[in-house]
Amino acid sequence: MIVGLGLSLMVAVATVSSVTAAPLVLSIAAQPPMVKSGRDIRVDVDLVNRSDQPIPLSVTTGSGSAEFDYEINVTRQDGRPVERTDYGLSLAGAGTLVLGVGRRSLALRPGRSFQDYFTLNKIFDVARPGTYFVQIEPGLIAGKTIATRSNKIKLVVY
Amino acid sequence: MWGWCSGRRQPIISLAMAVACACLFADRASADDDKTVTVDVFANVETFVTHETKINVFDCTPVGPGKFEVVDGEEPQHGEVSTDTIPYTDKKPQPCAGKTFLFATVYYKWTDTRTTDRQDHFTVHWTPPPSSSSPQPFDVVVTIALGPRIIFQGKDITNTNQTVALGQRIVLTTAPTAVGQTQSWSGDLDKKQTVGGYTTGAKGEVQPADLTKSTTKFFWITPATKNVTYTVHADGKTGTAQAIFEVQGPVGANVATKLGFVQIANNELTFGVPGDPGITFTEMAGQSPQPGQFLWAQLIQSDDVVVDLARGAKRICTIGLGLDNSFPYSTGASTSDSPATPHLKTTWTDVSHRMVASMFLLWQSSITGSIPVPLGSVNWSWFGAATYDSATGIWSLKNSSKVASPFRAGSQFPLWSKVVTNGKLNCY
Repeated sequence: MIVGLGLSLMVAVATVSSVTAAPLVLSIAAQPPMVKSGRDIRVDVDLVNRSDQPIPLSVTTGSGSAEFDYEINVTRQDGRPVERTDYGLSLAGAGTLVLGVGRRSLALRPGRSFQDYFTLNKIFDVARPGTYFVQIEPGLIAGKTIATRSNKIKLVVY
Repeated sequence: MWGWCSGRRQPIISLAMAVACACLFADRASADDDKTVTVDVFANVETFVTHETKINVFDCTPVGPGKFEVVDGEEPQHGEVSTDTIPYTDKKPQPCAGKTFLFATVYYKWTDTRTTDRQDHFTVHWTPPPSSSSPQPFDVVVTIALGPRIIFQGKDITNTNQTVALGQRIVLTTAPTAVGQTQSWSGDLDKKQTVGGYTTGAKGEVQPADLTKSTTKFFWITPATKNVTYTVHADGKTGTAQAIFEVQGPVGANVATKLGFVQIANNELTFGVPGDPGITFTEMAGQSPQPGQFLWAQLIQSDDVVVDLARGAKRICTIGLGLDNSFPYSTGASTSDSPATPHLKTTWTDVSHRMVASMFLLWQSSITGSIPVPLGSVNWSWFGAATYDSATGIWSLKNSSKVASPFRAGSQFPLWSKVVTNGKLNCY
């Protein structure tokens, strides 16, 4: 019974959509896409320069804090937005936390990608079992005109 | 029937002879069937060459050691031969193993310190008892030993020049080694020039090089010509070996800095914005003769944010001190930093941000196993204070400063015991 459920969930995990009409192509993937409630949900972000020119980026220093580089949108299966944690609210200008960040400049060469990740459950309350959809768009990392939204991924918390 | 003893020969036992006469085994440096002895010696050290004696192998009783004499006209050119008669106990499973006999013994000492020759020759005759016996010739070839050798990457590099890269893993072994020997490494190997390792994980630490073993591993952290001397003491003798290394890497490193502006932008109190960083570091050292790449590492000395809330409440927040996020901070000839207090809140009336940091420039050779080597650092800081006008809903900058010290060249490694990351500050 449990095995059967697991298989059906695995089949359900897939990229829902992808947008590629921009010099910078943004894509995300959940690691892993099916997560037991309470576990960290890592979302990998991949930003690829599909143009023939270097593109300047302003990226957060280190890795694992991509939430400062992108705007993250999480919804439930019925389309309702998911509540943010205090940290997530603080990232959105509300919340009670004081944040700090450092950024550095880099020129992303044609064909090269810049990879980073964020921890979804640190930002959104996704502890309840269910199906969630995650999509991001560029924040301060690059202008919105040169990079559009990422693909939307489906994530199952059980 | 009697026989005579000859070094490293089996006893001469003839089944045709009812009475066997044999030689006791005799140690010597090296011998062949023509009784040519080869021996390696150190200068000015009396060295055993060979010894002989004659015994009755039938009952293992001694006959006599006989006598060695240097053959006239065939004396050594670079040293002295001496003879002696000394007791010796053969430990090998010969017919008379374990018994002690007197041996006629030959020694040689290389005394010539002016020659460039490395070999010497002489011939000795051993006359077994009785003295009327026919003398047996021994041709001796002496080679002055080269002493200990330094081995690097499988090759003997003693007295040679080697070219290596800055930060390259150097493993030096030695030969020969003897049980009970003591040794040390000296030369350009002090703590200002070498480390035994550099780890860059949760902590940044340097390990000292161990220069007391016959095999040593270290990394040079400054480019220059380096002399290495290995000294070994064994069996009352001292030997040394030397080698020279040309350590190549970037020379004359320098970093130029460019400062941006403290400002309110994108709802942040920030030092720099995308496209115009708060501080930009550019390496000016040029190319190294060895392939490699530049790395950057930043240590946060302090990073504090003070927030004034409505009605006089205040929150003092810090990110702490330590490594800025990861090692390396970035790679390449240039890097930048635009630190900020993001997402300013309308519940705050004032905010200030003060940060002090050190950016290190390092270089790492492309050779596998190399460590990053520091070339120097830049100390820098910034401060910004902003106030919120609730009537207009606008944040405005009221005070700011920024400063970067000149690049200070040096081989001080960035060290840390904590990694500080982007995100939530600790407030009280």
